[in-house]
Amino acid sequence: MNNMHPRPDGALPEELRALDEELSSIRYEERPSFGPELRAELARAWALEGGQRRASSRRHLAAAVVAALLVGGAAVPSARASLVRFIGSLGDAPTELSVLTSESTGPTAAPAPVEPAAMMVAAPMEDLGALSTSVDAPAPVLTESVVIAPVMLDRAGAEELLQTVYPPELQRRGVGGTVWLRMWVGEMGLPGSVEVSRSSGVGELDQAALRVAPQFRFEPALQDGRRRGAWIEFPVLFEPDSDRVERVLKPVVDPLSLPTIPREDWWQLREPLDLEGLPPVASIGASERRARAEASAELAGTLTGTDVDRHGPAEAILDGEPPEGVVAPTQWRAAVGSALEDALEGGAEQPTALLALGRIRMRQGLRAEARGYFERGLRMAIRAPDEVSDWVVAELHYERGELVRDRWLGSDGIGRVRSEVFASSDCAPARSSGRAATGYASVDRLIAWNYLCPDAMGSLFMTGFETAHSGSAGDLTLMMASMRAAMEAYPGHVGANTHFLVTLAQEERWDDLLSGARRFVRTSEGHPNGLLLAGLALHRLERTHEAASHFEAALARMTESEADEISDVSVLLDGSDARAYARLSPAERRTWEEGYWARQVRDGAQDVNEPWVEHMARTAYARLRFGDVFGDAAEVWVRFGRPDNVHVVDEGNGRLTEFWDYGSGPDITFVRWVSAHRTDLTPEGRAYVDDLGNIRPPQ
Amino acid sequence: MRIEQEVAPKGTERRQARAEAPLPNDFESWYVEHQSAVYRYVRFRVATREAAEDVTSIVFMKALRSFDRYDARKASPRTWLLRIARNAVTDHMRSLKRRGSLHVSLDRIPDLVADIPSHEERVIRQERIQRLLNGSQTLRKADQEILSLRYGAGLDNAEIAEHLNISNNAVAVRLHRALKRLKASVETTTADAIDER
Repeated sequence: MNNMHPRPDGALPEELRALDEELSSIRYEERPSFGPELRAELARAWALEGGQRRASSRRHLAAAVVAALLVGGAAVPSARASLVRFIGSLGDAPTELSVLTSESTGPTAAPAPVEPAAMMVAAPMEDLGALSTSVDAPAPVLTESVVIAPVMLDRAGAEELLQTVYPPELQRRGVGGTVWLRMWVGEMGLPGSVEVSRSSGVGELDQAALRVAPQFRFEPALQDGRRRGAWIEFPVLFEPDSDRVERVLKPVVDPLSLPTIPREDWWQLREPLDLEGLPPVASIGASERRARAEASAELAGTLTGTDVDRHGPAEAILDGEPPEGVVAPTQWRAAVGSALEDALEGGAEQPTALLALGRIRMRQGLRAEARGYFERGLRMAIRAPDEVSDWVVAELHYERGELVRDRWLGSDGIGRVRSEVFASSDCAPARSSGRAATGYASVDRLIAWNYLCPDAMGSLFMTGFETAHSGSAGDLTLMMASMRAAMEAYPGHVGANTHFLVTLAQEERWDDLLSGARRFVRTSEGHPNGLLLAGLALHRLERTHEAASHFEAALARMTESEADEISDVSVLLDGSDARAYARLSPAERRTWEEGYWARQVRDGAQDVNEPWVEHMARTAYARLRFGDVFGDAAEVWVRFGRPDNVHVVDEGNGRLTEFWDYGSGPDITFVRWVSAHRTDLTPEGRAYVDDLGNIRPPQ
Repeated sequence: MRIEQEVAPKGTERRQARAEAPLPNDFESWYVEHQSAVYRYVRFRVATREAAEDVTSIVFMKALRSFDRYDARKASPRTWLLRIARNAVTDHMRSLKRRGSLHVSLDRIPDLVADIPSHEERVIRQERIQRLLNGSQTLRKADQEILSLRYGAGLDNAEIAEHLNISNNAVAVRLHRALKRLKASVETTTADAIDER
């Protein structure tokens, strides 16, 4: 669109003519699809309101409240291409209403809307009736008064928040819906209790709306000029945008020319891999390296002339890691973080800069702030998808998912054991092991019972372990959604694929893991992580020969040091073997390992070395799940395999104690700090594991 | 390729369904006739294309909701729409003030059309326009309004006069003063920038 201007019709003095010409020459290009999109939005809004305008005056009164809520604070609602928005039905409405309000001063367990006809608004009459009768709570004390309903502040920000939790998979499948939320808005405008008053019929959408609702902010309700808490009810519309649907699908289908994949299983590939026809090793990660280089160049361009420039190459800044030679990484991060913030303030707001700053903040332990930067980057990507590379979008999703993953790992399966259950059992040597005043057993007591009376402790865990109801399931869903979104944006993304697939392994979804890992191999130029995961799945599916060939292919595609690390058998050895192995050079170790595995096969006629395959399956999982193969958790996993059960006990100080149950005998105990990646044996656990030195993987 | 075949027709259907959905007749013609002017007016005032699209959406959504209260005796449809737009822009600016900067930066005006082949000239021109736009943000509201009507919506003096309900002569005077203040503001900013260097 060009906006050409007529010549000025009032004569301007000479000194202003040049300015007039300059201003007249400013022309903007309108996005071609904007006009039709907006027209369609208007038509839909008109169709919606057509029915409402026929409703009774009572409804108009009711709608007035929602209008106050939805219109009053609306800064930038986006009919443009919003995926998520609040439904507003009427505008220019009065905000003062004569309604009945509750005398209660705060939310109750069972919310009682102050007056259903007024607060449950923007719904057809019959629905209002249904809602009002659905409230199954004692009638509050009511008085007649004049109130001004709460007004939502920063509605645009709230909509953007909602966009970030709209599950990409649902968008891709074109699934949308309207979630009605009922929320207590306190005297300070802060949300209290919130619940779904009418489900969208899609659990994930309901959960998404619930997750972000506590972050909404309001002008509180006023009653006779005084701030009051009030219940409000409002609908949130999740609407898949057709452009978004196509865009999300595109990278999955186009670059790979994959065979037909059922839509619900888009991330899977059921056909076997051609291990002989994998791309050359040199090509592993080549396209990701190119994407990273492009993003770095873009970042460099954005930051040219800013203070960030002097802190090193853009690649280092993008990674949030100091370049070689920096002796004080902490100071480097502080300086780069400040400079990036200044650059963003100065208008250099680009997703790459937000990604870099988010990473720096993450490494500084400012997790919430980091997540905010990643989500800002994602919002920019949603608004202008053509201006942000798929890889950068994937990185933003991935980093956000990483933060959620840490939180999930810090809360997954945690619980406590009630002290009272100890009364039904006895462990004489552990009687003095301490009692907690909280009604729950202290970790000291659990550890003492575990090692002194393991059978009794096993029973107590069975009967007395109470799982905490934390946000664990929600975090898992969000983490998987983030990883999946990253994979959708950039199908070969190594980190996202690895976390996503390792979680499937954790859930023992071996068929899904196999097909997902195959797709990962295809989309990542044959990344060894994909081959390891496919091998793990095949092994668990008892397809040992295929598993062996996948592990061999993975080793062949790793660097020498990586392959040596994953093939290392030191944790399986003790005594003279361990000492001899420790003295060998890497090349000598490889030969030694061949002999070692040959000795593990009892029947020499076997054409596949099953103990080696089992070892590789364990090592692969340990490496991808725990980050390395030499940590305590990885060591125990490789030696003993997957525990039958894991109990995680949280004493509330950020320190988690894990009990890994391997059947008879004591559990192996670990300590883990919330949000830390390391899981270390407790001193008792280390002593016990060392005592079990001669245990070998099952034959 | 089955996915594409399944999805593409679905999206197409939805687009067609939207296109066929009716609007009130008059409103439809207003939309066709004035949507661009409203967008340009808004775009001249706000920092980004995205914000302009959002605010334009608000304008037409509000207009649609108040459509039955429109009084042809009081204002032409364009004047009415541009008044709604003025209020929407004001709301938008208030919200930005709460959240941070109103500053326009070059990377936020990728939709700026500049038919200049030389890269260097193009950059210089973009910087100049950036200064003009930022300078206009510092003016009083009435000045911003008249400049947006003139150089954003592309109205001539008579149309501006109708919109503001003032005489043609008063428009010429106000425009002259607004340009003068803008010039002064830009010159000050430029001098500051040179001093900083």
